[in-house]
Amino acid sequence: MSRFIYTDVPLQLGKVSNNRLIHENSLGIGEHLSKMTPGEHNMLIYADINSLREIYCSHSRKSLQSRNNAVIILYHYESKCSIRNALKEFDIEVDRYEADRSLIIMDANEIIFKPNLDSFMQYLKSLEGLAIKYGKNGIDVIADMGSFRHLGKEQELIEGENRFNIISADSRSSIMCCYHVKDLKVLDAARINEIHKLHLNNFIVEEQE
Amino acid sequence: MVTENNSKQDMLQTSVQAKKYRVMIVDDEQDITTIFKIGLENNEFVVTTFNDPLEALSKFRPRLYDLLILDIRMPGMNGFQLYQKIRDIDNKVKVCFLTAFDEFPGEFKTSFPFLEEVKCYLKKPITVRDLVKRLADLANS
Repeated sequence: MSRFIYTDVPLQLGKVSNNRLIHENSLGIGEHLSKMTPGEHNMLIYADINSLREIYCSHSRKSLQSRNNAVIILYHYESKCSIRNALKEFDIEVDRYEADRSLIIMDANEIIFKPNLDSFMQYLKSLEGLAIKYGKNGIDVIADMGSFRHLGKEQELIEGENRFNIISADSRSSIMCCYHVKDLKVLDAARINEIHKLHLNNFIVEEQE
Repeated sequence: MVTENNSKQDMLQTSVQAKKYRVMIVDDEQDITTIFKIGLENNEFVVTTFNDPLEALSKFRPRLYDLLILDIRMPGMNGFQLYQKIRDIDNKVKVCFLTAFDEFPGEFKTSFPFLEEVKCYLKKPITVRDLVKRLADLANS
């Protein structure tokens, strides 16, 4: 038995086509992500950290092991230690991938705005260049967007998403922006709608009972 | 050494037990609030926990608590934002911020000037013994 976790959010999603709103459990979303093509910029809305963990673990494993991509995880609510442990439980050789820079796990607060959004975008481009130079097909970025609200940068959220759109469209990188449902609820409906429209697919994790 | 430790522990127990301090803990991780509640209640604190900062705020009343333990990174409302709103209701309640990250409160002082006065930051993981000591120090400050 599962239920939607998003039904009580005051959204006006009329302008977002239904095929871009995908309600699935974490396994189903993992399946969608495994068919992802380079350049995709997607959104993931989650309600609990366990769902997010399952998704980033399966996504990372496929990226690293099957797609020959590098993975960048930018966390906000979990610590680096807990993410590393979760990945290891998914049989991902975290130490090896970190050593060869195929896997980078960083606090989103420490990178997205330091010193500014421009430098972060350049950083992503340079990482992609390096990954390709070392034989990877591209990079998959998984970013928890909670840091925007935490740092009082909500005004820059739309700009950031726009920039992600531009950077991913012209690259071999994919970006998955992860939003805790409570961080979305505090935004006004127009802004939520705009965020939805800036992503190719909007995955909404159904909570398992 | 054992004697000295026991003596310190006795002093700690005495200082805490002189008054049953009422503590509100807000952390989105249920494991944390559960462990802290058990540990603090075993040390004579009266503890109320919340896993949702908005719910905690809605149920907050003046003079209901002596001490707050607020996680910093929480979905929907962070610990600084929550404390800012709580201060409008009760500006006497003392606070300890809790985090698992290398937070730099200095970066938030422009948005939250009250952080200049906050001295208590707890880094997870923390032992119950350290938690009790830090709260006792805060209560007696």
